[in-house]
Amino acid sequence: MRAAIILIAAVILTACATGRSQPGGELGPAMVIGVSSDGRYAISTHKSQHLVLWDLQQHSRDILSTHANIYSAYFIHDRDAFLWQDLDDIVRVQTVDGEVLKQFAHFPTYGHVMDTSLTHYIASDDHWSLFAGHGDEIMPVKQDGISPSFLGTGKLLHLSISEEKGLFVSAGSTTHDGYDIEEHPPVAPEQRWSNYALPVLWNLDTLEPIAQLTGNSSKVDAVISPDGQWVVSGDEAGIGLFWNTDNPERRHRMARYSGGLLLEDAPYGIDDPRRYDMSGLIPVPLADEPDRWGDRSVVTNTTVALAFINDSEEFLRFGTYSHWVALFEAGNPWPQKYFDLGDDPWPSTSSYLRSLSIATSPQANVLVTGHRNDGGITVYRYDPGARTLTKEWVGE
Amino acid sequence: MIYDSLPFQPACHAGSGVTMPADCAAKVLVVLEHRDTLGRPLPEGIRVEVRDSRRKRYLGVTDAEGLSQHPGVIAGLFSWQLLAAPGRHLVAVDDRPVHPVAAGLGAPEAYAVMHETTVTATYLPPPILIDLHTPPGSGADRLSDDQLEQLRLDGGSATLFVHGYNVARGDWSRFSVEAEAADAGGPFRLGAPLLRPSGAATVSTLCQSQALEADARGLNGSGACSWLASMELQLNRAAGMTDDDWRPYSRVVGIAWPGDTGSTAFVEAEFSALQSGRRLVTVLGQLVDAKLSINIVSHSLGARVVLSALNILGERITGPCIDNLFLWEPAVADNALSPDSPFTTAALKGGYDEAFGQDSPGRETHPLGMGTFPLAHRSIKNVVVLHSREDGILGPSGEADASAWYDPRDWLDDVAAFVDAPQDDRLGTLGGAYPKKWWTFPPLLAGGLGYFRDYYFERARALGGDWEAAMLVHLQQRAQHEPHIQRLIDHAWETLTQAICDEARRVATATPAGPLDPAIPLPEYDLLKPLAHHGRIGELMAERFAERLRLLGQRDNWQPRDRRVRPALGLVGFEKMEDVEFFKRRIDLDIFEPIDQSKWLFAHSAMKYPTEEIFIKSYQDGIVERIKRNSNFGRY
Repeated sequence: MRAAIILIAAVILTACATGRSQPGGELGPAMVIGVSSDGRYAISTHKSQHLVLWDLQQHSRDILSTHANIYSAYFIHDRDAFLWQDLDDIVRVQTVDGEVLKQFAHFPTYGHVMDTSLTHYIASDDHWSLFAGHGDEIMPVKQDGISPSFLGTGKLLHLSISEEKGLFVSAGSTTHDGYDIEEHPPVAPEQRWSNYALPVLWNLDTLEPIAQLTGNSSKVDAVISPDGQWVVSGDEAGIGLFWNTDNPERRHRMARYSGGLLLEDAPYGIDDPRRYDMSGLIPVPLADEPDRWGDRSVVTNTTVALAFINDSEEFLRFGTYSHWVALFEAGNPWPQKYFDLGDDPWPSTSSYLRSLSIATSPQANVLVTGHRNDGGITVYRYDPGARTLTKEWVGE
Repeated sequence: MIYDSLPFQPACHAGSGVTMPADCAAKVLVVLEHRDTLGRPLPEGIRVEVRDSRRKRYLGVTDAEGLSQHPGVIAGLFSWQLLAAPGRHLVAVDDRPVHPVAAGLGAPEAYAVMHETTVTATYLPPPILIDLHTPPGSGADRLSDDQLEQLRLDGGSATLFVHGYNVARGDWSRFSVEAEAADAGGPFRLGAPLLRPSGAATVSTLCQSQALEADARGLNGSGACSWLASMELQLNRAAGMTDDDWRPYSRVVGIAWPGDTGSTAFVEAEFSALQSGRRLVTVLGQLVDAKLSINIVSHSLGARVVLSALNILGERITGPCIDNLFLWEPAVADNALSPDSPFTTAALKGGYDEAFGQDSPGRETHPLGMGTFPLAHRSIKNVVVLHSREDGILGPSGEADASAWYDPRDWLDDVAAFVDAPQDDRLGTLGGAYPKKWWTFPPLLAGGLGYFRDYYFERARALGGDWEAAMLVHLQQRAQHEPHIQRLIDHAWETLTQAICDEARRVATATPAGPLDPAIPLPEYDLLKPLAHHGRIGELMAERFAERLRLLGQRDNWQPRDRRVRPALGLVGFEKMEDVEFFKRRIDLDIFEPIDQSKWLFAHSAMKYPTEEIFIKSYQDGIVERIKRNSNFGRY
C-alpha cells in the first residue's frame, strides 16, 4: 500500500514537472530560432530566458537552460551543434547530445554566427558593431557608430553566411543611399552615425566589406542563399530587392504583389504608368469580406523576414503582422505563390524584434516560426515539386 | 569650476608684477564680452548688472561690440547678470562650459584683477517661437532678420517643430531648484552665489526636467513653450550634445498655433490647423528665400498645419524645398498625401468623379474636401511617418485590425469612462478618439462636423438679406410635409451657395492672375475658410465646395452618411496605401518612409518626455540620423 502511494505521488510529481510548471516558469515567446540543416532539430531562445531544443521528428522538446541570452540561439550549418550564450556571457558550441565542443567568454551578443568548421565566429553587440573571433583574438569588423543600432531600431542585425562561397551578409536598417567603402571603412569608432547598418555583403575570410546593398528603407531583413549566389531583402516600407553576388553593384527589384515591378532605369517620370511592369503578376489572395474601407487584401509587401526554403532556389517573404507569405524564386522578381500559415496560432510576424524567430532549413525544406502570443513553435514543410507548404506540428 | 582656472587666487597681480592681497580695495575695470554661441556679439543696449564681493552694484550696457564696461569694481570675486535678455542662457565663461540651468540659479562669478579684467561670456541664442495665436497682420507670423541670421549661422539650417492638438500657447518657466541640473555645479564659488539672478535672467526657455511630472511642476513652462523646450533638448541630445557642454545647442523654430479648442472640439481644431497652416506659409517662404536647409517635425494634429502650408507651397513652386518632413503620430488621414481631391485636376484619374475609384484607399473621403493635401508632396524631398499601433488616441491599441474601433458602439461604451476621466485623460479614455471625429452625437461630448453648422449659421445671419439663415439648420425630415418650409430651406442653401461663389469671384478679381507671388500675402477668405489649405480658390472649386457643404448640411444633417473617416496615418502608416499608384512609386523610391514604432511608443504624446528607448529609437535613429544623412541640424 505504501509503495503504491509513493508510486502515485511520483507519477503526480512527474506530471507536474512536465506540465506547465516547467523549469524557469512558462516559456515566453521565442525571440530567435535556428533549424538544423537536416531539419531534425530546432533550437530557440525565449523572452523568458529559456533555451529549448525541439526534436521536430519526435515532436518533443528539451529545456536546456533557463538562463540563456534571449537572442543567442543559432544552429550551425551541416552539424548537429548549435551556438548559444548564457547570462554570464559564456558562449557555447553544444551538440544536440549535450556535448560542449567549445566555450568562451564574450560580450553579451545580439546575434551571432559560426561556420561549420567552427573557425569563423562573428557576433553583434547592441550597437550593431560586429566582431570576429573572441578572447585575445577578437577583432572589429564593423564598428563605425552607435546609430542605427539594435536599441535604436528595435531589431537584430541579421547575420547569414554562405560557406560555399565564403561570404556573409549583415542587415539592419537602411537610412542612406550608400557610401564608398574605400572612403568610409567599416571600422571608425570615433563616428556617431554608422554607414554599415544597411544590408552589406562581406568576405568571410578577409572580413572586409564587398558591397553596400542599397535601396531598402528603414528596418530591413536580408539573407544570403546557401550557395552564396543571391542576397534577397525586404523591409518595413514593402520594398523587396535582390542581388547576384557576382555583380553586387547591380540591384534588382522584386515586384510588388499587386503593384508590379518598378523599372528602375526606365526613362519615364515618377508618375508615368510605364515605370511599372505588371506582366508577371499572379492573382493575390483576398479576404472573403472587405474591411470598412473596402479593402480585401490579406498579403502585404511590408516585410518582417525572408528565408530560403528550397536550397538556394526559392525563398519565402513574410509580411509584417500577417500570416500570409509569398514564395519567390531566386533571381526572379515575380512572386510565385502565396501561402497561408494560419492564424491559430498566429506566427511570430508581428514584431521586427522577433524577425529571427522565423527560421528555415533550406536543405530540408523545413520552416519553423515562433508564435505571436506564446512560447510555442510551428513547423511547416515545403514540397518543392508540388509547391505546397504544409503545417506539420505545433510545439507547445 | 571656473575659478579653478583663474591664475590669480588668492592674490591679485598688478600689471607691474607687484602682488597685492586679494582683499585689497583696489578698483578694477571689469569688461564683459558678451557673445552668443554663433560668435555674434550680443545686441547693443542690454543692461548688465555686476556685483562685487561687497554686493555693490555696477551697471553697464552692451555696446555695438557686445562689451559692457564696469569701472570701479572692487578687486576680487564679482558676479553679473543680463537684466533684459530672456532666453540668452550662459553656456561658457571664457573657454569653460557652464550648465545653463545652473547658471540660471546662481549668476556667474569671476575674479576681478588689477587694473582691468576681461571675461568672455557665451550665451545661447534666444528661442524662436512663431506665435500664430496672435491675430493675422500682427507681424508675429514672420521671422525677424535677426532670427534668420541666427539660423544661417547655426549650420544654415532650420528645424521646425509644430505641436499637436489642444496645446495652449503657454509661457516659459523660471529656473527652479527642482531642475535636474540644479546641482550640476554652477558657475559660482562653492556656497551661496554672490548674486541671485532676478528679472529676465530667471526666465528659463530650456527643458529643466525630463521627468513625466515636469509639466505638473511647471518646470519646463507650459503649453507650446514646454513642448518646444522638451523637443529642442531631445533633438540636441540625439544629435550628440552632452550635458557637459551646451555650446553646440541648436534652437528649433517652434510653431505655436491655436489648436486649444477643448478636448472634444477636434473638428474645430482641424479647422484652426488649416488657418494656421496658411499663415505658416510666410515663415516657410522666408526660409526658402534665405536658402536654408529646412526640416520639419510635427506631432499629431500639427501634421495638418504643416501639410496645409506645404500644399500651398506646392501650388506655387515646382521643386521640393523641405529636406525632411517627420510626421510623428500624425492625426491626419492615411491618404493625406494623396493627390486626390474633388477640387483639383490631380485627382485619381481623369479628374474627380464621385463614383469612380470610390473604393480606392487613395480617394479623398472628407465630406468637405479637407482630408487630402494634393500638392503638398511637391514641396518635400523626404517624408518620414513615425506611426504606432499602440497610440491609443488615433485608434485601437493592440488590435490586429485597425478598423476594430470604428464601430460607434465601442465609442458609446466608453462614454461613461470618458465622463469620469480627468480632463487631460479624456481623449485617451475614449480609446481612439480620432476615428470618431465626425460624430455629432452625443452633443455634450462631441461637436463633430456640427462645427460647420454653427460656422455657417453665424455667417449666414451676418449676410442678412431677405432669407432666413435659420433654415440652414432646419432638419429636412421636419419639412417633408410642409412645402413652404422646404422652399425656405432650399432658398437658404441657394443663397449661401451663391455667397460662397461670389466670395471666390470677388477675391479672384482682386488677385493678380497667374501663380501667386510669394511676396504678396495670400488672399483672405471667410466663407471658404475650410479650404484654407488651397492658396487660391477658383469659382469651380467654390461651387463644388458649396455643393458638398449643402449635401452635408441639408441631406445628412452634418453627420456624413456615405463615407468613413480614413484610419489615421499615425496609426497605420502607409499600410493601406501600398498598392495605390501614387504612393507605391514614392515608397519604392524612398520618398515616403514609414517607421513602425508600435513596440516602443505606447502613448500618443510619449515623445514629450521620452523613455530612453523612445529617445534612442525615435529621436536618434528615427529623426536626427536621417537629418544628418541628407540635411543639417545646427552645427553638429
